[in-house]
Amino acid sequence: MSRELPSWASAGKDERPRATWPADLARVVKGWRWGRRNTPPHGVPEVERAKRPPRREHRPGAPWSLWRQGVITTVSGADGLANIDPPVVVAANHQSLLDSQVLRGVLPRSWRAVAKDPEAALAAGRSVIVFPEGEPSSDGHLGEFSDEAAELAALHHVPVIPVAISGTYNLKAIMSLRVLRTRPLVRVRFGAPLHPRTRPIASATAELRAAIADLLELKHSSWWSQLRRGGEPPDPETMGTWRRIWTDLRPRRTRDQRRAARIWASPVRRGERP
Amino acid sequence: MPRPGFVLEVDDKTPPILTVGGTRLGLQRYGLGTRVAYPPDAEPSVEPTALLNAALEAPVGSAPLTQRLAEAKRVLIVFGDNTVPAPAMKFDVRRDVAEHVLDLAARARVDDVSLLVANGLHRRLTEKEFVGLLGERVVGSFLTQGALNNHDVTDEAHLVAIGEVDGREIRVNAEAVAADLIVNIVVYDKPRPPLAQLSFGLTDLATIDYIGGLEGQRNPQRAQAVADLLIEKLPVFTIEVVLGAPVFDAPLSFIGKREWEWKLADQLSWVGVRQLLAGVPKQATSRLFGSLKADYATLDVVAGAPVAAEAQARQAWAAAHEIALPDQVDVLVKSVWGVGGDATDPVGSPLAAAHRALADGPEVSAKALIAFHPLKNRFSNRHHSAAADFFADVLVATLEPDEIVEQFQERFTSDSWYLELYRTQHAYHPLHVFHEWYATQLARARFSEVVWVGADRRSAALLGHRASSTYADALEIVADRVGVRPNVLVLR
Repeated sequence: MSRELPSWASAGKDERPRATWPADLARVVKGWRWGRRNTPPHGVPEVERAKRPPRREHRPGAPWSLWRQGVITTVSGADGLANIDPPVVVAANHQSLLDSQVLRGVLPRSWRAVAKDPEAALAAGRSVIVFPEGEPSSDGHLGEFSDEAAELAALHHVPVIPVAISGTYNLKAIMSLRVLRTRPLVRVRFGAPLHPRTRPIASATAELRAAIADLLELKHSSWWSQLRRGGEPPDPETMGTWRRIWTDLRPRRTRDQRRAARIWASPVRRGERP
Repeated sequence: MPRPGFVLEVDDKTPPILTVGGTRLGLQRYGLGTRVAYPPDAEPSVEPTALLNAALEAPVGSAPLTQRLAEAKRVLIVFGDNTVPAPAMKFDVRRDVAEHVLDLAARARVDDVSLLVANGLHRRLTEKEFVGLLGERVVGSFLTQGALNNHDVTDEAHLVAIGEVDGREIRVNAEAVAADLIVNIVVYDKPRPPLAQLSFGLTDLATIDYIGGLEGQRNPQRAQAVADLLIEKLPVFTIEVVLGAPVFDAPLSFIGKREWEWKLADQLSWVGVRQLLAGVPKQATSRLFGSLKADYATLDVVAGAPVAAEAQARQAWAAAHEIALPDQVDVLVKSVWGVGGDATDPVGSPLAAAHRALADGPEVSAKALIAFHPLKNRFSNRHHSAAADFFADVLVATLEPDEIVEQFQERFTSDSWYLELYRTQHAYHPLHVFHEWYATQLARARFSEVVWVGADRRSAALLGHRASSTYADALEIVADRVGVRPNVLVLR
C-alpha cells in the first residue's frame, strides 16, 4: 500500500539568499519617514505602550583589583542572583577590611552596591552591603549580628541576600608576604534571598545569621538539608586562629591532579540517569 | 495590565507585517481589507514573590499551603517539562515557586520531599535542563539524592493502579500515590484539558493512549473522567502561574513590537538578524534558535484545589489574552515559527510544524489555511527517531488516523529501539508522534485546503497539503475554493 504523490512533488534544494542586507536596507531607507513620526494605521486603538525597562539578568563579576594582587576568588550560588530584582541588602560575615572590596568586585555591576549611607542608597535604588557583625572578627569566627540588615530590608521592602566570605581573614598580611608562591583563595557563596518584611526583626536576624553560618559550611551539606534544619545554627567549630589561616592556605590540587580526578564521571553521570 | 490585542484592517497606511516561518524572517504586504489579529503587548517580568505569597496564603477551595504541609509527612512537587512555555523562559518562574514551596516545607519540618517531572510521552530532562528549570540550589540538593526524577510511562515497577475508568485500570507514578500531598506547579500559557499536567504527564502508557489517542481526542469526556479520578484519589494542591506574552531581548525585541512602532534601531536589527540567519550554516541557525529565551510577565498566581484554581487561572488568562476574532473567515494565515518548546527541534520538523499550524492556537473557522514554514525534512536522529520513521514510512502509506492506529501504532510503540531511546537517550516516546498526527488530522478536517508558503514540495505533499513559492501564489491556489476576493484573517 502506498500513496501516489504528484510527480512534481520532489524535495527541493534549500536555496537561501546569501546577502539579504542590501535589499532590506534599501527597503528601510525607502520606507522611512524622514523627520516625521510613524503614524499607526487606521483602526488601531490609541493606547500608549507601557514603558517598563526589560528585566535584566544579573551575573556576578570578577574582582579584578584582587586578581591583580594575586588573590584567586571563587563564587558559588551565583545562579540565584540572576532572578532577583535590585535593590537588595547584601549581608555578609566580616573577617577583614577587604570584604567590602571583594563583594563590590563580585556583585553584579547593575546593582550599584555601596557600603556607605545605606538608607539614602536604598532610597535611590542602589543596593547596599551590610556587615551585621559590625567590626571584622578578631578570631575568624562568626560573631553576634546586629538587626541593621533586617531592619533596612523591612523598611525598604527589599530582600536580604546572605553571603558567606571565607579566606579573607588575615588576607592583607598574607598578601604582603611576597615570598609565598601559593595564591590565596577567597570563596564567596551566595544564599537564597530572605524576605524579612513580614516577620519580627529579631527572628529575621537570627535566620540571617543561621543562613550565613550554613553557607560557611555549605560544602559539607546541600541547600535543602540546611533549609530543613530550620535556622538552627550548626555546631560551633572550635578552631584556633592559626588553624583558620592554615586551612585557608592549604595547597590546592595541581592541574595534573585535577585532570586525574576528572577521569571518573560524577556518580550521577556514571549511574542511573534521572 | 498589558496593552490589549486587537484586530487591524489593512489599509494603504499599513506597513508590511512580520512573518516568521521556521527560522526565516520576512515582511509580508497583505491586500487591502485583510484583517490582522495582534496579540496583547508583551511586558517584562518582575519578581513573582508577592503574587506567590498572596496566592499561597489565600488559596481557593483549600486550606493554606502551610497548613497542608504541616499535616503532611511525604510531599511530592510535580512540575511540567521544558516544552512549556514556548519559547523557553529566561527567568523560569517554576524555580521561584519550587524554592518557595521548599522553603515552606522546611519550616513545616517535612522530611520526605521529592520532585518529579510530569513529562509523560515527552523526552526526559537532562541534568543541564534540570538546572535551567529549577536552578542549582534545588538540583544540587535533590538530584544526587535520587529525589528529583523524570516520570517514565513504561516503568512497570513504578506505576500503581488507583482505580478504574470505563473498565480500564488507571495507573499513576508510585511516588504520587505514596505522597500525602502533591504540589502541582503549572505554567498556564494556554487553555489545556482538565488537570492535563497530571493525567497526561504522570500516568501509564495505556492511560495516556486512552485519553490522548485517536478515540480519546474524539471523546474529550475520557480526559475529564481520568482527571476526576485523579482528583478523587490524589491529595493535589495546584499552583497555577498565568503568563503574559513573551518578550525578547535585543536584537530580537522588534518581534514583540507592532510594525508601525519600529524605530530605526528595530529596523536595523531586522536587517541584521535576517542577514545573520541567511549567512550562517543551518546547524548554527538551529542552535541559535534552540537557545533563544524570552521573558514572561507573571500576570497572576492562583493556588488551591485543582478544579477551582484552574477555572480562576483560565479566567485570568482569558482576560489578558483573548481578543475578539471573527467567527468565520475564508482564509486563515499563520506563521509557524522556529522557537517551539522543543529545544531539540528548534526549526520545527514537518510534523511538528503541521501540528502547530493546524492543532494549536485559537480556533477560527476557515475554508483554507495558509501557513509560513519551510517544512524541511529534518529530524533529530536521537530525539525524534520515531517521528522520522513515521514521516518516511507511515505517511507514504496512508494519512488516515484510523488506518494508522490499526496498522502502525502497535508496531512503533513496542519497538525496542525507540523505547531504548526514550528510556536512556532523552528521546520522545514513539506514541507521541502518533498523538500529534491524530490531532493534526482531526484539525485538518476543518479546512478544505492547506497551503504552505516557501515549503518543501515533497514534505507538503506527504502531509496531504500544498506548497507555494509566495503568499500570492497560495491565494491563487485556494482561489477556486474561496474566490478571488477572500475574507482573510492573519494571526500575527
